[in-house]
Amino acid sequence: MSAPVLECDRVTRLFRVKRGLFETPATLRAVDDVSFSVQEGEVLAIVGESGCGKTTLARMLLGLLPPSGGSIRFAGRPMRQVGRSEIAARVQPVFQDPYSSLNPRKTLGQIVGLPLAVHRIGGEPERRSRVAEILELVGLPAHLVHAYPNQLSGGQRQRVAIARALAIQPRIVVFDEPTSALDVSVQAQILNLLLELRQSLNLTYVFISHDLAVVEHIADRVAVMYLGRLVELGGTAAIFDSPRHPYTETLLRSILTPDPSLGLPPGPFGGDFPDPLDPPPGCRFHPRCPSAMEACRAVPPAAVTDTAGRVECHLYNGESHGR
Amino acid sequence: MIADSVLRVRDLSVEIALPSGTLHAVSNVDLEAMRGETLAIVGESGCGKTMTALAAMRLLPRRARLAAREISLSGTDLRALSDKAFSAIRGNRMSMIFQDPMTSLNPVYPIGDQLEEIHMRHRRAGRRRARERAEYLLDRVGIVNPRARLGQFPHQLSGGLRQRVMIAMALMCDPALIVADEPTTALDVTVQAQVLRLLKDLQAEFNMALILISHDLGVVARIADRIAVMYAGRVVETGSSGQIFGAPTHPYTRGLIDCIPYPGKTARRTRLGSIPGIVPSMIGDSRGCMFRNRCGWAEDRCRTDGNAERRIEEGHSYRCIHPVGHLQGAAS
Amino acid sequence: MTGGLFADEFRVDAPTPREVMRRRARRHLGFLTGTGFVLAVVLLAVFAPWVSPSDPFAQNLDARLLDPIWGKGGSWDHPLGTDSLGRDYLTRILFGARISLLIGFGAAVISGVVGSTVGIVGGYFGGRVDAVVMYLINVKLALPGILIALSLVSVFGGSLIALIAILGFLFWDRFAVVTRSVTQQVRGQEFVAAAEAVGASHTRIVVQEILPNVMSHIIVIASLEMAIAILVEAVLSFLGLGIQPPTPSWGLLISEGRSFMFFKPWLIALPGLALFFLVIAINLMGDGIRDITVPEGRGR
Repeated sequence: MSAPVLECDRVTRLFRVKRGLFETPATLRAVDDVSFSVQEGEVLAIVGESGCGKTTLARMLLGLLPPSGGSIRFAGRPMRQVGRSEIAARVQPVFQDPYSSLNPRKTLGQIVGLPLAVHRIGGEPERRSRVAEILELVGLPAHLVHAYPNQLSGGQRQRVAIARALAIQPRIVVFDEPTSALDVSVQAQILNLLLELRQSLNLTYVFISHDLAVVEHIADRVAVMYLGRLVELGGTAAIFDSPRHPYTETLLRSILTPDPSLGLPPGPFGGDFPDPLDPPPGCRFHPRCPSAMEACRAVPPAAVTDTAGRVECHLYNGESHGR
Repeated sequence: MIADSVLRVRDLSVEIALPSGTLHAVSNVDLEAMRGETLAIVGESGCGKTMTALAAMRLLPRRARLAAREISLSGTDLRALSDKAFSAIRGNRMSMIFQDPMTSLNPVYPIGDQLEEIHMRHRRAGRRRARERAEYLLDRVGIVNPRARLGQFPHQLSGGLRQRVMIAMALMCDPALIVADEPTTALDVTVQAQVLRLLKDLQAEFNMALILISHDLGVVARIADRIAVMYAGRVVETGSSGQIFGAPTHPYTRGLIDCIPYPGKTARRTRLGSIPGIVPSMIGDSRGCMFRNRCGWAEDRCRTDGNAERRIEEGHSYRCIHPVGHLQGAAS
Repeated sequence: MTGGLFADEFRVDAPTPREVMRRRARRHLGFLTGTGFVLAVVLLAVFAPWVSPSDPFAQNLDARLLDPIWGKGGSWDHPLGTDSLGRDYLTRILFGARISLLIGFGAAVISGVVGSTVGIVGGYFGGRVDAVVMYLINVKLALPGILIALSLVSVFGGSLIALIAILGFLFWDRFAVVTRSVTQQVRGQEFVAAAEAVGASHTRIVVQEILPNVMSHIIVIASLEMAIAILVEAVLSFLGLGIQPPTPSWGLLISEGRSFMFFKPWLIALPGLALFFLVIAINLMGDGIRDITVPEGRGR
């Protein structure tokens, strides 16, 4: 196996959060000691609920936010040694909200052409034909170059955002909830487009989502995050068919497939999300965990890595050597 | 039958005059919500599902024009009521839960005050009675230590808790009908399941009619007894949950169901079914089937015809001249 | 390709942002009146040497304090009468418009450039930069503007350039406050993150992504600041600290007319009305621009 295109090694990101006027600022561990690697051509999904740190992680992968600790490597080279514009040439984002991700004052031609202009690729006529080409690639007719974002529907806008990301031919695309603002029928169109593009351009995707049904459909591997920790990582089949971390189980149980005979999933879902500024000691999931033990309340579980993947849970700590 | 009907809407249309023409937001919609039953209105953004609910609650934007042959709540004709009489019913006999609990709660008052105010206004009962009711309901919606929570402000609660408070607020006066507009869309998946479960349990306990508006077929399938599928302002298919998901008949319903990835059923990393094209403009001419420009079975007749309601069996009807599924080919 | 077969899917019916503004402008009565009046004044001021009946400085001591055309003994030679030195009053007012507009425009441009730069930089970079910007704004807000203008003018004298510069540097704070908060909003939008992720420089992001979205706010404030600057110039000139005679400025005309207030009231009323209508018109125009450039709702 060649070197992974993207690696995170014990990446941590802290934020100082001001609470009140006279209180000392608290430290938020938005991403805490996260390690994983992404192989060329695969789709790695990162799932978790709001506040789990997945968006912060995405911003670090894009080079928009420096990690407070640990390192991110592109094809073996630490990000710190890779220049700003080279990072951009390797990894590009597609964001959630197709309404705020396109500048309302610019035409589609200007929007999709921006990466080409920034990287000084080609002259004016060359850029124009390249923009038309990319628009066709994402399923938009070339005559839309003169249109403004407000003239398009949500799905069409998201295609423009994808076109912009692909303009400078990055190897990796980071998607942050790319379909959650779209209607169901449009979501299907976009997911189909993403699968096609990955095939034809041999792209690597980091796909951040809270929608497990979508993740199951598109991902090769799945990383599950909870309160900044990566609690489980494994192949899509393994995660969905035999989840190991109790949080992954809880998440899977809450997927609502459109099957009227099933009714609502049985509880418990273990109450609410705790305050991220004051995470529980020990395993961060223990207050909501149905199988919490004594150790979970005091000792943070160590990660167990084996052939099936990686899991951070005391349930698997004992048997780690056996596998 | 009639005795159990809580909300009945017949031939409801909502039009909005825009500079560029008349927007037909809702066209000829019939709905009936029964006591103890969950009716889901499902459709994509702009299909008119929220407008339909707002019309029933008389909360439409001012420039919207409403026409209906019947809007009645437990036999009372709501159309005849003055605005003042209507506001005595809203929040009392029928209440609404919105998508974003943060904007529906007033940030400068403690939640206790906001809950009690509704009860005192509609029931003319004292503050003590109202407080008891609020505390009871907060406990019922699964909020631990309700007495302490009454004094808290909305921003001190998580999204899930706020939505629970909204549900408690809707229940303050023991309504016959609750309309919930995308109640769990802003919530995390695990919280969503809890809140839906809560709604369903409370509905049974209080024996209410629940109208759930959602774009999420998963949510709808799991919670609804009856489903109305809306597209471009029209109800294109209605039926029981089993009928809609077991034998979808309108091409749009069918397309919508095929669109969603279904863990365990759709093969991973394969093309999903999709509905080509986009929703047509609802401004101007609204004759004929609005789905025809995205429909694989469309023909000339769909331009003019195609809105007549056809019945398959008791409770399952659709508006299309080319039904798909088990009726394919057998129609017209 | 998904959906490619359906031609009308990609028919762009919705108007472009510019068309939307044009449409709104055409229907906005306040904007049309305000802009019309301002344009008329601008044209008259620009062509004052050709439009006006005589020379603004030519004195005719035989024809002092003549009544306007509607008054006793008024004649078409001097439609708005003459002042105490026999200068044609219409000419004086037309030339006065030049001063008012120049000062208003110049001060708005200077304060706009200074204030918007400060505000955008603070809003865009945030953190310590923003703290400095906030400090500057707060200091500025704590200063009594008019008093400082008075003292500066009395030190540097009342030349046109000095007045424009002083007024310009005096009124930048409103630009800074507004552009700072708008920039903060725009900065949080995903298209800015997308530009960052592409590797665009700060300059490019500010100029190409942020500025076009802040511009309409800048124009609105500029029009309001212009009106204020015109008024302050009139006040300063009235107090004798602004434009110096014999240059005609509306404030100065009012001041000069003061001594004849009771028997020749039009000497005060005419430049006063001119000032009043110009300021109202500019404000109408500014309000109109704000209504016209309000962003549309999402979708269509």
